Amino acid sequence: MKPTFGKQKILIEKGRWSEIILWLVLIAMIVIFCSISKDFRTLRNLISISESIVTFGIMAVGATIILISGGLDLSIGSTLCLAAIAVATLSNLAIPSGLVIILALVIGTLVGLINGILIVWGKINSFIATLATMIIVRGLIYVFTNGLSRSFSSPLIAAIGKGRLFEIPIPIIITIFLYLIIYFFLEKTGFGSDVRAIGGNSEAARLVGINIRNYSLVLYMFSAFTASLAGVILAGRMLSAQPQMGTGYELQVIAAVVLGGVSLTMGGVGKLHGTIVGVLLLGILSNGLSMLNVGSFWQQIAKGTLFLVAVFFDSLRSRSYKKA
Amino acid sequence: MILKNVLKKIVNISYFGNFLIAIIIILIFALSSSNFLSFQNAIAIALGITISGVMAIGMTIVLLSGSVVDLSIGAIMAASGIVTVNTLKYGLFFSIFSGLLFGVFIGFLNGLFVAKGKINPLITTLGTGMIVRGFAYVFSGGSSQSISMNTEAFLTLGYGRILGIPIPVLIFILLFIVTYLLIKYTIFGRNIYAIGGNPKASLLSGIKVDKWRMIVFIVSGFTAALSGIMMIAQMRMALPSFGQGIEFDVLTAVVLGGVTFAGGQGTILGTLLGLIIVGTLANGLVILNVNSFWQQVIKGIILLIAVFIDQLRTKR
Repeated sequence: MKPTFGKQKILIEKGRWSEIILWLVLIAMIVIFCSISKDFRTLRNLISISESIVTFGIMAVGATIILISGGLDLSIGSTLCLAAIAVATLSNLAIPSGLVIILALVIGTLVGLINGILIVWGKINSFIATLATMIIVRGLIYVFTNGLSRSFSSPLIAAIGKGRLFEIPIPIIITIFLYLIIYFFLEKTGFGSDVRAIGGNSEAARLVGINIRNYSLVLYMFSAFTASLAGVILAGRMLSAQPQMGTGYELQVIAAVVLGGVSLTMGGVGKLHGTIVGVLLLGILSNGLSMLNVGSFWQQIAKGTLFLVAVFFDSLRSRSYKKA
Repeated sequence: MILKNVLKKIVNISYFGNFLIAIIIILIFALSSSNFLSFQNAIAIALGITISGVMAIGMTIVLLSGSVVDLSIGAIMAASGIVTVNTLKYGLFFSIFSGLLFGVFIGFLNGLFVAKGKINPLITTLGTGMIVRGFAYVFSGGSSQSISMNTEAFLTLGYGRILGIPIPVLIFILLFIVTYLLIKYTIFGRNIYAIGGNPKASLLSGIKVDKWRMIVFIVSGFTAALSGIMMIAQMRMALPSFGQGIEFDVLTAVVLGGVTFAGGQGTILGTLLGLIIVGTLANGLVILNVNSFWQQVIKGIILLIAVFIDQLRTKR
């Protein structure tokens, strides 16, 4: 049992309460959608919800860790697309599927390496650095593909995207595995407490002897890795890749993570299970709105509003931390 | 290390580095294309700068006051254009007024969230940008809307010339001079620099920091709306997708011009120089027939270089 101080105790208590409220909101939302819409409560819809949630859910793991460490990664949407395009291109070159997946993940993770170098050695604000790589990577994708989508066929990658194992979709199994592994790392190892320390007070973390540079580099690479994994799965599900894939995903992922209680304004705060609620909330909201035939324009407004509400509560929360 | 020191020295001689960059860019393009150096093309560059330039004036003030950034300007631009087109039936002045009012209102909301809600400006404006863009699509039904009334007046606004200089360029120059004077000689400028340089000290010395934060975002919303109206006058129609990503072009110009993210440092003259560099580059790339996808890549790289220079400057 780690020693807890007054301030930390309040922090934990508040975190717990807001999480309970989030779960209640989620349940209420499901009940409302189920009672209004017949299409919502079908098994087919459950599968389509889970498919759309998987993409965001995997990216959200990386985003959670980055935010906890006090950083930000806006390039994940472009990275997802890069990995998907890589999968499609390499598959058409008759490279074995297993190797294709590995190469796509490596190519995607390279974006994270570049982000890390820019932020750690270039000392560029993480928001701007990842914004620039987001623009550059997206531009390169368009240059490379000439703006055209690419389709491919590969049984193995298709299985990863939409296969089933004991009736459970494989992407969901991958997601659950990822969450379990990262949960273990974040909560039960020194890695997790180091990341929290860096996010909470990087100067103190440095003085304690944590190598912040190495950590940042690894974290941005991990964030890019999760985005690439989501890209591989998405490509496998559609058996094609479009150059505009994943545009704007970064905002929705960040919204979900912040909604789940990870703070944007101060690092070190937040839990992975909060992220699960956030991702579920956003996924079910957008699915439910579609089922109720709400137009996509209005959905964008709803999502933007939800995003603002989430950060507003975040700001209230962090103010009460500072007072505590 | 020596290279780094030399770099720092060049960067520190305030505009010298940027002048050098501008001249080099102009030389390269002039040598590689005969169409580049002409009065016609100079006017084209100036016209190309005006729309993002008007926004850059607002953005400069936002950055100077230490309010980080306003990312909602692209969306405000599109929505204001649509508001203006849809209110044209009530008269030209009313429609322009309501377009501007819309921008001011969104700017006010941004300011309210940032100053009173204490939300990170970057996140606030990202959220309001999403919402406003959504409204732009809802208002317009997702399709383009042409200017059906007062076409004549709008055409003058977009294409008219006085002494050979296009009216949009004149509007930009006028706005620029007014802002320059406001920043240089009035309490507006002094307070903006003060709250950007040290908000706590400003608060203690009696400056209403929250009020000025709000004013800054209102100005930014206003300039975004104005450039939206200028845009529809030039395009003869309003599209909900206008100005997608333009906030990053504007930001690049402003940061390249020497305004720091930390606030309190930089001048509006620097922004003009940054605009000229970005505008010349964009124009030259088009003249050289560079693929538009490559142009996006180059823009991203310039943004990175601009921020890197900014970082060197701040560390001084």
